[in-house]
Order: sequence, then structure tokens, then C-alpha cells
Amino acid sequence: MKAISRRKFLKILGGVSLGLSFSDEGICAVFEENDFLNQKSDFFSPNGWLFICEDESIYIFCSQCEIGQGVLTVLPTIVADELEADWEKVKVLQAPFSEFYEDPVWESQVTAGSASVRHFYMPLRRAGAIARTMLIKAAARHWNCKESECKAKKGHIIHIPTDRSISYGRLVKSARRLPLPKEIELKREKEFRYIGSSLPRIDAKAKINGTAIYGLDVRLPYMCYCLLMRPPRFGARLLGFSSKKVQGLPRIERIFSIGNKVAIVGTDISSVIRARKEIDARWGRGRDDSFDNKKIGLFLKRALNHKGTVKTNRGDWKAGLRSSRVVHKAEYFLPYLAHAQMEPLNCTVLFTGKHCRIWTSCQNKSDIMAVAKRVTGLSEKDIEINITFIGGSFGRRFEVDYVKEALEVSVKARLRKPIKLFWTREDDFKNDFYRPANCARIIGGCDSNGLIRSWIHKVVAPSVYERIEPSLLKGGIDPSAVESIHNSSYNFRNLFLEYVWMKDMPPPLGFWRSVGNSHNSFMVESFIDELSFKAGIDPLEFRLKNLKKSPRARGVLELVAKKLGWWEKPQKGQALGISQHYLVYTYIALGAEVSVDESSGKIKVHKIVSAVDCGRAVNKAVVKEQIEGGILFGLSAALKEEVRFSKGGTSTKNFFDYPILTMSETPPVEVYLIESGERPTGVGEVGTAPVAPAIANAVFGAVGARIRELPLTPERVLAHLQNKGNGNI
Amino acid sequence: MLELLVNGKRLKTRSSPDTPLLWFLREELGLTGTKYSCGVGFCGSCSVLINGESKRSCLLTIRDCIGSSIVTIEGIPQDHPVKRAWFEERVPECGYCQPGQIISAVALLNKNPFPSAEDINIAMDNNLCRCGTYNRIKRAILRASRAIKS
Repeated sequence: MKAISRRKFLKILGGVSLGLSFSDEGICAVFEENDFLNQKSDFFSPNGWLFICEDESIYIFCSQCEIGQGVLTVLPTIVADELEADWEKVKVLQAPFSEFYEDPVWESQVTAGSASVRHFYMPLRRAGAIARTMLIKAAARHWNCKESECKAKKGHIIHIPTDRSISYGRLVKSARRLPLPKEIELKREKEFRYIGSSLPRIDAKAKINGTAIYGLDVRLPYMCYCLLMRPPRFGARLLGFSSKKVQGLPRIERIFSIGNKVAIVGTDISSVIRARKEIDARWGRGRDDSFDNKKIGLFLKRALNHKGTVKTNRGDWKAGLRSSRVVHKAEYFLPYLAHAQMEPLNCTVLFTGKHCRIWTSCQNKSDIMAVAKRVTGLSEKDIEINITFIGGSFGRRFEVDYVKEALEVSVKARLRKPIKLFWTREDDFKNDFYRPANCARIIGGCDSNGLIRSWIHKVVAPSVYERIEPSLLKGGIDPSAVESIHNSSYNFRNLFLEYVWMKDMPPPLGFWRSVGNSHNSFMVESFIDELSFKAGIDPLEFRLKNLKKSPRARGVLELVAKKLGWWEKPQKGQALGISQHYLVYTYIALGAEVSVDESSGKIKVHKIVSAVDCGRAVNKAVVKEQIEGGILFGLSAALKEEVRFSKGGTSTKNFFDYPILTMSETPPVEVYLIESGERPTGVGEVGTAPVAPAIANAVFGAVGARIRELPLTPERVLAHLQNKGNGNI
Repeated sequence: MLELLVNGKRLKTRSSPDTPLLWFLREELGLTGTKYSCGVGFCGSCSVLINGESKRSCLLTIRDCIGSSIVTIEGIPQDHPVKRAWFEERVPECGYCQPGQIISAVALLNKNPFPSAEDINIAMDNNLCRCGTYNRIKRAILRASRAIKS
């Protein structure tokens, strides 16, 4: 096999003619990809991940979507390091849709599940090492010396005995004629130049200057705008609509129905917004027109007495409970949550009948392609996907519902002009795929030393996978509903875990940062605290005793305890709470310092400290930023968030009735990384899961109120403080 | 014809005086650094400077801005101490709220070049960020303040 030819390279790029370039000057330029390549006199590209030009510039493709997690910097860093490139010369390109760029584990072009670095780390190292090996071979031929006398150093090959050097650009012509190497040698870890450092993010300047283009910022000649009217209740059908009041309004091009929605297309954004308010639509009954928050609590708590499907039946949990010196039982309840990402959903489509071009801020290229083929009837080669910067997702942009809407509108409108379909904030809250409400009952027991003898756990929740991937509902068990319990670091010896599937709950569900970990961590880590209290054992000590078989979990806990000053007396009125969790192959422990104003019930979080063992950190600063962001996302949910429903639909409208964390409520956050030298594991979702239990545990320490429901609003805290006075904890 | 002053340039428009400033900036002038997020003046993503103060452009019409100086994120020089501090403190993640955050920070420092942590909380509390960059925003404002001082 030879190094990739120019023609083959263009073939990998497929029909793509547009791309976004992110250069280190912070310029975000849209250019004609093919023309751009033609302008380059010659280049060397051993694979679809990189090409090196004669002018010394190095282009690296990023297969994953930039959602804010820093992937556009981090993945190219891996290639650049193995290539021994000079990072200053590297430019990053967002990879187009192509099988070549599939996630090697998931075999799909999707950015999700905290997987980018853990799935691409080795493939990208190999890609860089292949190019480096070939450049060395080319240099050895140039000097007529042995390859072992040459080494790569920051964009040059050095001839060690004579200290001569030749730049990568000057080796382009000869390297491209070489066959691909049969064997490559990866760098040793101590030779890493960029991996393990904290390179600045390449998207930082564009985002600071306001030049970064997000989906909503796409502007095309003759572009129209589209808003949809959607059913006010879950499952309601569109019976009819009247656009009389809108007729004759300037700048409105089309009004028509698509399924159970009404589309308003116009040439001006404010006219479209105004027109939507003037349309009278009639809707049929929904799935449950009396569905509201009261019903959620009622249904779920009642179902705690139903028999579930058994996920794990391990050891003799009955005998374990009988022989326990301390036995405890508790029930927990959590609400539906919204993603509330800052950029509302949107998608721009230009459909000509023969060709379809899509611009969107979405993280799921494979699903975009599938839905585009289905809706337009076109084949893959006639569909072009352009992923822009993404203004937050937290799981919401794993979905492609808005892409489907934009495609359907474009096909039906037959305008032959680009149409930008956008959602208002109200559309976003009302039509989210929510984190499910859920509740759990745990019965557990331990011996007098604090060793857990029995853990009996029932989860009641609607199923996320029922819609997203029903094939994974093995035996009627939703994998996300029970995740992190049966495979917890505590390694419960005697475990009975069952799941009660709440069917017929109307709100549609989706992945929300950390998915099932976001609730199960709260339940398990709250219960552990309760059990330790009942056993009269310090909650940190209790955890460490039960984590004997998990040194990495102990490692993060011990580090947090040290940094938090666990054994020191906290300031008056303040208390510490602690938790640990294992998700996406990463270990995290978290501690919070909290006080409670007993007159208002308001919680003040003074400090959060966390320790993380995620194996090798490719970019330390990015990892810490992701952990801190995840923690504050979890803190926001723990203290404030709950979606409200009434009359069968969502009544939450906007940020004023779905308040999220603000600056004045944000505590200092310390993140410590444990350098274990293991392969990189997940980071993006890690911080979110362990926050709520640490806060709830600290609140118990501060005021003696054990709160088993979220969010921890002042009203809820106050109610618990009053109940406590009645001896009812 | 309305006359407006945007980023130091005088310009004329035939747009209706009722056009929200946010859409005028984004769609007519192509200044897409000013972001739409909540549309009700609650989140701060659409903040612009009106005569030096941070205002929500989704709540203003262009009529409201006649005779005022409008400055968007694109009008803040790239070497402005606030923008430089934002880079040095590595503030942005998804970045969507950051133009609004920077505008509010510039307005704060214009009025109060040496703010306390509490001053920053008060001035910035109505600029929402979902990625959790608040601590770095705070540090960046303090860094910019030090840069102004020296």
C-alpha cells in the first residue's frame, strides 16, 4: 500500500465542498475545501487524519464535534504529539461525514458518552506515528543513512551523528512516494511533548472575539426562517389551524402543516416570530391531559410497592440482612430535568430536489445522515453535512428531531432557498427529551465494623432506552436506570437489584449529562452516609472500609479528604459532605463544605473539592475545566432544577421558571488529578454525578436534616427543618 | 431612514423602528457575536453596550437606540484587557454565552475598574452560563482589572 494519493484523499472528503477551519489566530473561515486543497502545491498524507504541506503547515482532522468539551484541541494534540509536529504550525479541520471517521468502538459518527479521547487515543497515536515513521524513512534516504541514526523533533528530522536537520515540508515529495510502514513504534510516555500539558484551546480566540459560528449564526444568500407550532400537550394531534390573521402579512412566504405541527416560513426572523403568535390552531386530546407534577410523585412512589424485573441477584442478601447489626431503609425521589443548553436548537437546510446541504449544531452525524436520507429520498453522496460550533448540549444534541423538522419543512416548502429552522427558548423547554423522574427504595445492612452485608435496591423509573434504543432493553431492564449500582466500586457482595419500568409516562426522555449516574449516585451515596451514621462510623472511614477491592476509588477519596481537611473541625455552622462514584471508567470523589441558613432554608456551598482518576490526561487544563463544569452542572440540578408539568404538557417556559446556577451561587471548585498512567477514560460527564449526594450529606451534617428529594430548594430544606423539630427525620 | 451608531460607525437603515436590536444586529448587520438564547432579557447572552452600559438587545428596539452608541462583541478590540484576560484564564467552553459575559465585564470595569469579588457577583449574576465557567470569568475580570491598574 502506498501513502494516500491526492485523489484518494479527496475521495475521503467525498462530495464535501464546505468545511470550517479553526486556525490558531482564532479565525473561523468557511472555504471551499476542494479548492483549498488544490491551492496547496503538494502534500503528504498517509491517512485521513492529517496532511503535511510543503509550506510546513500541518492540517489535522477532528472527527468529533466541538460541543464545548475541547475536543477540537485535544484530539489533534494526540496526532501532533506522535507526529512530533510543531503545534504552532498545526491547523485543525472539522472532518466531513465519512465512514473513515467513525468512532472505532461504536461504529458510528457520534460524539457522546464521554468517549472521544478514550476511543480515539490509540488510533490517533498510530496515525501520527505512521506519518513520523515515513518522514524518518524519507530523511534517511535523503541523507543516505540508516533510519536508526535519525529522529523526529518538532517538525524536523534530525540526523543524530551530524546534527543536520531537514523540515517536514521539504520531505513531502519523497515521503509521499513511500509505502506505508509495516511496523511503527509509538513514543514512550516520557517523550510526550504535548500530551499531558495544557495547550490553549484552539477555539478560544474565535469564541472570545465573537467570530465563532454556531448553528444559529449560519447566514446564506436568500435564506428564509422557520418556526413551528407544536402540540401544547404530549401526544396531542393537530386538528386544524387558521392563518387568517396572518394573511397579507409581509415577509411570510408559506404556512402549512407537517404532521402535528404548523410551519411558518418567512424571509425575516421577527416577522416569523410575530406571525406564529397570530395563528389559531386546534389540538386534540393528549396522552394524559391531567398529567402534572403531583401525578409524577404519586405514580412513582406507588410503584415502589410493585414487583420489578431482577437485574442482579448476587450472594445471599437475605442472610446478609439477617446477620447485619445495623439495618436501614430509605426512599428517594428525583424530578424530571431539562438540558437548558444556551444555544436553542436549530438547523439550516438547502434542498434543491437533487441535492441537500445541512448546517447544524448537532453532535450526531450518523443520525443526521440517516434522517436526511429518509426524508429527502436522496443517497449519501448527494447529502452534505456541515457541523458548526455547538452552544452546549449536555445530551440534547444527541437527538436529531430539529434536523428532521428542518428537512421536512424544506422538502414540503419547495422554496429552493435555504431555510433556517430555529427554536425559541420556550420551544426548547416545552419540547425537550427530559432526564426522567425516578425513585428508589434501598434496604441495607452492615456489621459492627461497618462492612456492608446486604444491599437491596429497587429503582422505579420510566425508560430512556424505550425510544432511543429498544434493543438494549434486555429483559425489560433499562440499562441506564440501574447503571452504576451493580457495578459500583463498593462491589456489593450480597445484592438484590430490581427495576420497575414506569410505562405510559407522557414526557419524552433522553440522555442528560451522566444519564442514570445522575440519579443512582444520589441514592447510593446518600444511603451509604445514612448507614454509616446509624452504625456510628465516620462516613469517610465507612466508605474506605467498603472499597477494599478498589484502590483507585480509595485513592480519589483519600485525596479529597486530605484537600478538604476532613479531619479538621469545620468552621461553626459549616459541615462537610463527601461522595464517590465510578462512571465512564473514571473514578471521582467529591467533598462539599456547606452551611444552611435555618431561618430561610437557603443552602450556601462554600467550597467543592474533587479528585479524579481518569488515566492519562491529554490536556490537563481541559480535563479540569470539564470536571469543574460537570460539577457546577450537577450543583445547579441539586439546588434548583425541576421541570414543571400541568394539563398534560410542560408548563416550564424559560429560565425565569427554570432557574439555573448563577455566579453568586457558585462556590470555588478545586479539581485534583491522580496520575495513574493508565489509558485515558471519560471526563465530560464525570463531575455531574457525585455532587447532589455530597451536598445532601453536608446539609445533614450541618443541620441534621436528611433530605431524600431534589432539588434542595429553600422551601424543601425549611420543611425538613420544621419536621425535624417534630422528631420526624 | 433611521441613523444608528454601531461599533463607532454611523449607518442608515430602512428597517422598521420596532425591529428588536438583537435581530437587527444579527440578521441585518451580520454581527452574529451577539447571541439569542432566552429572548426575555433573563440570560444575558444578547448583551451589548449602550452608551457604555450592558443592556439586553432582545428587549430593545432600534428606535430605543437612536442617538446612542451601540457596541457589540465585535466592537471590543481584540487586545482589550478583558478579551486578553478571557484568553489567559481559558474561560470559554461551549462559548455561546461568552460575548454577553465579556460585554457585561467591560461595562463593569468601565464603571468600577477595581471591583471586589462581591461587586463582580452583583454585576455578573444576570449573565447565565450552562458550562460552569463562572469561576474563570471571575478570575478573568480580576486579571483584567489588574492589567488596567498597571
